[in-house]
Amino acid sequence: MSSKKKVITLRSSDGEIFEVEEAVALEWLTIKPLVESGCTDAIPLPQVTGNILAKVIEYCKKHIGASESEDRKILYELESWDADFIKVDQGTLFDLIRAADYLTIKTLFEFTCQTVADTIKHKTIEEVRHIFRESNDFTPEEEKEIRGKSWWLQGL
Amino acid sequence: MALPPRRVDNLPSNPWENLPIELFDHLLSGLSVQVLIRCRIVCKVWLRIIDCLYPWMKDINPGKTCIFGCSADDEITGPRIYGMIKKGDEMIPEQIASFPELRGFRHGISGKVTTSNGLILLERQDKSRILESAVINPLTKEMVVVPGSPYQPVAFDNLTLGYDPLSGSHKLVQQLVRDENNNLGAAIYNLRGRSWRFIPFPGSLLASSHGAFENRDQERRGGLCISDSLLDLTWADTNYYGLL
Repeated sequence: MSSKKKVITLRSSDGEIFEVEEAVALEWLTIKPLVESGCTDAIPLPQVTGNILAKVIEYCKKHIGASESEDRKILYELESWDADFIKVDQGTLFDLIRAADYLTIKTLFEFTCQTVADTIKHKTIEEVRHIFRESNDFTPEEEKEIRGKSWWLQGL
Repeated sequence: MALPPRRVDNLPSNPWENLPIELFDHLLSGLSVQVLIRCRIVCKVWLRIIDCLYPWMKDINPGKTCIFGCSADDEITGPRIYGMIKKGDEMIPEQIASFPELRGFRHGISGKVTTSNGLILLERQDKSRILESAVINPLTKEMVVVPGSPYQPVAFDNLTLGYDPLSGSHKLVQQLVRDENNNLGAAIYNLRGRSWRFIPFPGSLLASSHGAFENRDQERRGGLCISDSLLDLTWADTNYYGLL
């Protein structure tokens, strides 16, 4: 059984236990030293809940090896898989950003940040407010003052 | 199964409010200045975040044709420079250049970016002392790194960039310093000669809010001519680009 891949155990903030292949865990720079030191206990991740950790593992499993592939078909499939993966509500998206930052997973962090940036681009102010569920808490006078200084905001 | 996003007006927690400010710098770095300016009027939380990361943005107004800014303190990308680009009949704010070599450099503590003839002054500080500064040309990406001045600042460390028409070169001025004999004066760095020089003040000194200085004795020492108005020169003036 020596060919069996080494498995790392992780424990989420709400006590859920997850198992990931060592190769996946090594991509998470925050826990990499622990993994390399041959830690066999469950690694506690007090800042990540079980449902977010499941998403993070799902993403990293899919991406390991595939991101470096030069096969265009694989890359194309990965892209459409990513697009489905990130169809989540804003709360989950921000939890993923935070988890990727906490665990130092560069690919997921950049991908989630880019997703937020893409959501904001090409939207009117009203649309951005709607998407991010922000309500306009400026008084008409305050808004006028901020807008007044930026003449290209007229009509947006 | 994830629920589709719904509009909830009194959501218990605002995800934007709970995210550390450093993460926002990454989030927003992918956006153009136009988008960021638009984002400032989404709500007060966004306004606060954007103005905290890009303090120069609130100074943008139609009266000025030249606006420079750099990101607050970006350890990863180095300073990113923004300016107004003329597109057709309109002036549009856009990122012009980034300087990854100048990691740790940023605008002065006032939060305002010092410019002269389109050149920009950035500083690297430690405990309010300016260790090094850099004069950059965002269009040609040229840069000159200037060592910290050997003179002791009297109140707080402060650098100004200006063009000296008499010697035909740009100079850095560190106002209100003392030399080794405890004389009060200003330290001048000549970007052409690449050296610091101490110029003592014979009379009383008036420091202006822009960081430029005037000598009350009306005598301009050292052929230096830096005034507040120089800081407002438009960067579209291409005559001086060759000087670096």
